[in-house]
Amino acid sequence: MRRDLLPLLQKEFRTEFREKAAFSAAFLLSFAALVSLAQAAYNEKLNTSLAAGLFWVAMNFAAVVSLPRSFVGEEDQGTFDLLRLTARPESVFLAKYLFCVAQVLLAAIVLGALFFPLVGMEIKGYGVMLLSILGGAMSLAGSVCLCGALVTKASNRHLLASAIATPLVIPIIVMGVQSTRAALGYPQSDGGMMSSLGIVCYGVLTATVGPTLFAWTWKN
Amino acid sequence: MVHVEGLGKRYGSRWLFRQVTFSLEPGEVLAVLGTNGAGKSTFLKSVVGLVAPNEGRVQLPEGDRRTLVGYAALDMSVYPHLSVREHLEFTAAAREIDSNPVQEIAAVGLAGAEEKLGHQLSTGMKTRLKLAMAVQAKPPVLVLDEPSAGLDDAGRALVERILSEQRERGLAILATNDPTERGLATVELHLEA
Repeated sequence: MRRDLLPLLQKEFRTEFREKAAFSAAFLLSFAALVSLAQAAYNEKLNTSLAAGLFWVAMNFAAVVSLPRSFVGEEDQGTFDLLRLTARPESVFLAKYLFCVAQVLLAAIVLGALFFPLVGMEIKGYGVMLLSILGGAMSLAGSVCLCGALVTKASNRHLLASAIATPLVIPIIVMGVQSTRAALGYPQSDGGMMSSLGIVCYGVLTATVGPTLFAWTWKN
Repeated sequence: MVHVEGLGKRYGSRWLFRQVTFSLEPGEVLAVLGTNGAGKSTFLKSVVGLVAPNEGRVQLPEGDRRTLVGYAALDMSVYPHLSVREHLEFTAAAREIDSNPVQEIAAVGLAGAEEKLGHQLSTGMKTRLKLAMAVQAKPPVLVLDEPSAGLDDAGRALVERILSEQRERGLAILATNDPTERGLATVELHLEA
């Protein structure tokens, strides 16, 4: 591990510990979405497909609210230049990425623990579910960080980030829904494990390509 | 030591500056002068690599940019939720250098404010913190954008001392309109709006 990764990671968590913005926003927004959807489905038995879809809507929320905390936030508060002159770009990306993974993962675990019992769903494949959540956190965090890193210096960065994120996030959601559906015991979901592995591979890809791509944009 | 050749930057069709060429040797202090909007800050950012120029090139000494160039600017912020001490610990660790935050804090006149968070600092205190971070690695190239802005008399004396120390270990480039700061320069560059 890079020696300079630790202080960058420490900065992210220390700031969050004092600010309490990213984790609480991710959790509260996702929780509000889930409660609304569960309320809308009150007295109706949700099927596994719909439950899996709703869960991933909430996961997506958790990831999207972390965008301001990534590179866009540094630029908005005027600290990006300080970061650029004191740290290696690869380490900056990895620190932001790991912080974002932790945020999405924590939100996903809490939401999963609350949501499925709330809608009367039983998880039948814990391995597939855990792999799906872990891969989802990795790939959503990677996509969000990558988008943030690419658009940081653009004047219309918030709009641009959403435009770039959409095609990156859709495959994650599709694979996530498929694997979660399989974990909930949907009868026609043979490829649950494959989707879980696919989403993990996507996460690994963003984590490995991200630092290099970010370093290139940083220098050019 | 620093060689700038044909440097130019434009936004749209308007050139902020063009064909700027100079060389600086250790011991020299360059004052970049010009009216508001003349492009002084952008010029400094082009020199340190924060802004990509449209033409020309900047040649800095070989080495790791994290310790090669010290930079402080008006439009650069500090982290609102990190303390003064944590800022200096963070920049030292990210640069992978040894540091003594207590000494560095005292050197810029912030003793007693070690645990104050970024958002609790006054404008002058933030400027002092940015100066401390800029000179922390004892860089051979120090680039300061209006370093005395927002500083009191003691702060201005601090800037003079920093520039005098810098001349002994390398060179400095500062953007300014302040007559006192201008008096500290050995060379001048005029940018016109």
